[in-house]
Parts: sequence; structure tokens; C-alpha cells
Amino acid sequence: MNGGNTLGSFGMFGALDRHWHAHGATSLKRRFVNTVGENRQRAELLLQDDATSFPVIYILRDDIERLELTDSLTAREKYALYITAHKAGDKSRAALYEHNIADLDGVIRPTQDALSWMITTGADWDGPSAGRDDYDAAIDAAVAFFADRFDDPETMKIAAGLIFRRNRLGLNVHDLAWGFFLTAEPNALSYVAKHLLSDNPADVELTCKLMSFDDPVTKDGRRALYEEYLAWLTEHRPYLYATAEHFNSTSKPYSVRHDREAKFLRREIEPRGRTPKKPLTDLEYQQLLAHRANREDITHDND
Amino acid sequence: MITINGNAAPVNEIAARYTSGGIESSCVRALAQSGARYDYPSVNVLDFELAMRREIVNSAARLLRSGLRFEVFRDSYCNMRYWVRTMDGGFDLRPGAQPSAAVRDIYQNGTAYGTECATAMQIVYFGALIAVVGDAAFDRAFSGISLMNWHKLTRALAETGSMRQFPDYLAGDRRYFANPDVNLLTPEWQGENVIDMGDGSYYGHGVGRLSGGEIIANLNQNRRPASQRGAYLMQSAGRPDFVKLYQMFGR
Repeated sequence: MNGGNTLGSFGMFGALDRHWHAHGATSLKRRFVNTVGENRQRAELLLQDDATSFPVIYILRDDIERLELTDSLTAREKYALYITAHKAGDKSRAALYEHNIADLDGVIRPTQDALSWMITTGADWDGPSAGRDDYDAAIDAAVAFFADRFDDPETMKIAAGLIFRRNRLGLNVHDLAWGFFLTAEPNALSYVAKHLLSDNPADVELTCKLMSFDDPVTKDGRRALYEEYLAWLTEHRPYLYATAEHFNSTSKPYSVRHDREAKFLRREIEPRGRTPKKPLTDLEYQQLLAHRANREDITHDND
Repeated sequence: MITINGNAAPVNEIAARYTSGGIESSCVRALAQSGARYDYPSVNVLDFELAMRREIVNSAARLLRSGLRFEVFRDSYCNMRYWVRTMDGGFDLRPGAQPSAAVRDIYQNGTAYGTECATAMQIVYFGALIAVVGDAAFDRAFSGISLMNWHKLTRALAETGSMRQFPDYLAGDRRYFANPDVNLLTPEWQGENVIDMGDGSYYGHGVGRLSGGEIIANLNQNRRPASQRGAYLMQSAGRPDFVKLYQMFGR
């Protein structure tokens, strides 16, 4: 491999990634197989390099499996290939990885590190068939798992960028957007809302659809709407929860709402379960009952 | 209660025009017995809605028999003679293709098509409209058709994309079974769009014609491990604006 006596990362990219960027996938696969033949340990270290990306592991997975190198993969790489195989409906392939990564109860719970790595290193590529293969399906699943359990704003910012990049290319964004909006984290939501200010009409249109905004049409109007939305997020941050509404069920999804009763009590809720973070006191419970009795419409909780 | 232009409707007279036990008569009975008031500008509009509900149910039954496959948008496919598959997995009417013939082809050559459940609902609505208004009127109204989920929806059927609460739910309504704890690896099981078939069963593309309990059981099999929340039928429906459609077709 070019410059191959160094196994560490060079800036953003590891040795395998640099070869892929310079020479393409076919050459990468050939070179990797040669390296395994010449020096298996060196090939294992290349796979385990911190700077090796998800796309490279995806490209090499047939060779990795054929050459029985799956046990040499890092935990995050195994998670990634497990998710990829599962999305392809290939259970026997998924089984190659699951015995290594299942928790004691037998359930596979991808880690923050694995998911973040898949998203951050994988978001700039659409897979060998540009949106019609298990690669982008795996990325969609990674975003869903991540949004469902973790709150790292940097990773979500990359995921938000991916939604709009794919949309500009005309590719499918529905599973990706559904997964993204499993979060009610305000920073993540603001990354999407910021596309209201884009000069690209496709960005603005998608933002309005995803967030159920009526397009104000003018630039000033869009900026005002964006700032109004940020203010709404700030005011309601402790009371937000994800609804999982999506285009599968409605043409106007409200993916995030605020819990009016939580706001009344000034009690923060779990955004993924819509339950109070701390149990209510007896006094609060009585206040809540009185509040409900005074409200005619207690079910409508959408602003 | 049914009123026509504010006056009590001759329910028995209206119901007598329809086959006993059919979709129309059961809908008339349900509307008449409801505590809510359903006001129509004319009997013709009521008749149009009843015809549409009958044909929505019939179209759902025909689509079930068509062999239409379930595929996620990533893997969707269509008969390229009539449709163009878009990069996001939807189908656009092929330029020059006759809209009614293109829709009818889905019913006649279902195995040439694979798509998700929300798209199937739109195919049902288009099939029902063709049955009620005929090819010529349909072709004039829908010179371009995009089939996808509720993200892309023709203006004529915009109301079917909005789930709203109604006092009564009737045959031909679009309902939704939600699966809040869906397994994240199978988002296609996040919920099921269905047509109320009027006999206690629902048609959902991919699951078939089943009772509500059976659809819930299907969805529950695709929940995440240790899920605490089961699937359920949402208390809302998507309905076409029948008055708007009636006026649109100049009837």
C-alpha cells in the first residue's frame, strides 16, 4: 500500500481511506487482499486503525468475511456490519457479528461510539448504488439508534446535513428523517430549522415539510420564523418530547411537541418517554388535577 | 343525524335506494344514528360520498387481489411503461401515459409494482375516483400523478394526508395503527395505513385484510426488545374532502 509502513492516521484519513480516495474501491479491495496475503497482522492493524472509516469497512466486508478477519474488527466495526447485514435482511451474515456484541441479556444495543463513528465517517458517501443499497439503509438505522438514545449535538448536526444533502440529490430521506426526529434535543432541531435560511429552495421546502412550517416566502419572513422557532425551543426546552409522527402517517407531521402539563408544573420531562424526570410531589399532583379540571381541552398539546 | 341544507334528511328514503347491508346503507345508518350532525349541501353530494366510500372499499379489495408487493421505498419498483420510478422511491406518471390506464395497470399487473403502505392508500383513492367519475373526467383532472407517501400528495386528495378526530368512523376511512416502540431496524413497521372495510376488517398493504387485533399483533411482533408500549389504532382518520371532489368533477 502506498506509504504503507505507517499504520496510524494521517490527519482525517487512515491508510485504507487514503488508498480508497486516491484509487477507488476496486483497487482498495485488491490491495487489502494482497496485504492480508503478505502480512496478516499488518492487515488487522489497518482494520483497527482509529482513522479507518465505515465506508472502507463496508467496501471490504466481503473480503473481511471471506478471509476470516471478522474477529479482528473493532467493536464499533462489528456493530456497523451487524446493522448493515440486518438492514439487508441477511440474518446469517448478521450472525457473524452478533455473538460478539450482544449484551449479557442477548440484546444488541449499539454504542454511542459505534453509531457516531458510522454517521460521522459515513455521511459523505451514498454507497455503491447511490441510495439503493444496504449502505445508506445502515446509515439511516445508525441515525435512528443514535437519535433515540444519545444527544451529542455534533453527530446530530452531521445527520441533519445528510438529510439535506440527500434531498438535494433527489434521494430518499424518509427513513433518515424519521430516525433523526426520534430526538427532541433542541440543538439538533435547530440544525434542521436553520435550513430555512438556505439559498437553496429545495432546502427551504424540505425544512417546511419536516417541521410543519408554512413557508413565509420572503427571506425576512423566513429569518423571523427561524428566530421565533429558536425562541420557542428555548422557552419549551424542558418540556419537549418526540412524537415519532412522520410522513408514513400524515402529510403534516409534528415531530416534536411540548407537554402543557409539564410546563404548567415547571417540571422537566424525559423527551423520549414524556415522563417527569422526577416523581411529582403530592402538592404538584393536586395542582395538576385542579389544572386538568379547569381546562376544557387537555389533550391538545401542540403549539 | 343527517341534514341536507340544514333540513333533516329523508334517511329512510335515501337508504332504500341502496342495497341493504351494503357499504352505502350502513354508512347512511351510521350517520343518521350519530349524535353528531352531518350537513350536506345536497342529496347528490351525500350520494357522491357514499359512492366514493363504496369504491374505496372495493378498490382496496381489488388492490389486495392484484399481487402488489410490499417494498420499502429504497427497493420500490413499477411498470416503466406507465410510470417513472423517482430516485426517492416514488412513482411519477410517465409523460404521455393515460392517467386512468396507468392507475388501472397497478390493479391489473400488481406484481409489476412494489411499494409501501402509504402509497397503496393513494392508489386506492385514485382507483375509487376512476370507478366513480370515469376515465375521461379522471384523466382531465389528473394529468400528472406522483405516488409516494403523505409527503407528496395531490391537492385534490390533500385532506387524506391529515389525520383528524371525527365523531364517527366509517367504511372507506383511512385509519392508522401506530407502533410507538417499533424496532429501529425495521422502520417500515412504525405503523400501518389501512382502509376501514366496513365489516370490522381493515386492508393494509403488506399485511392484507385483517381485524384490528390481528394488525396490532403483527405490529407488536416488530417492536424493540423490552418494549413497554403496544401498537394501537389511532382515534383519527384521513378523509377526502368529498364536497370538494364533488365540485371538482362538476357533478
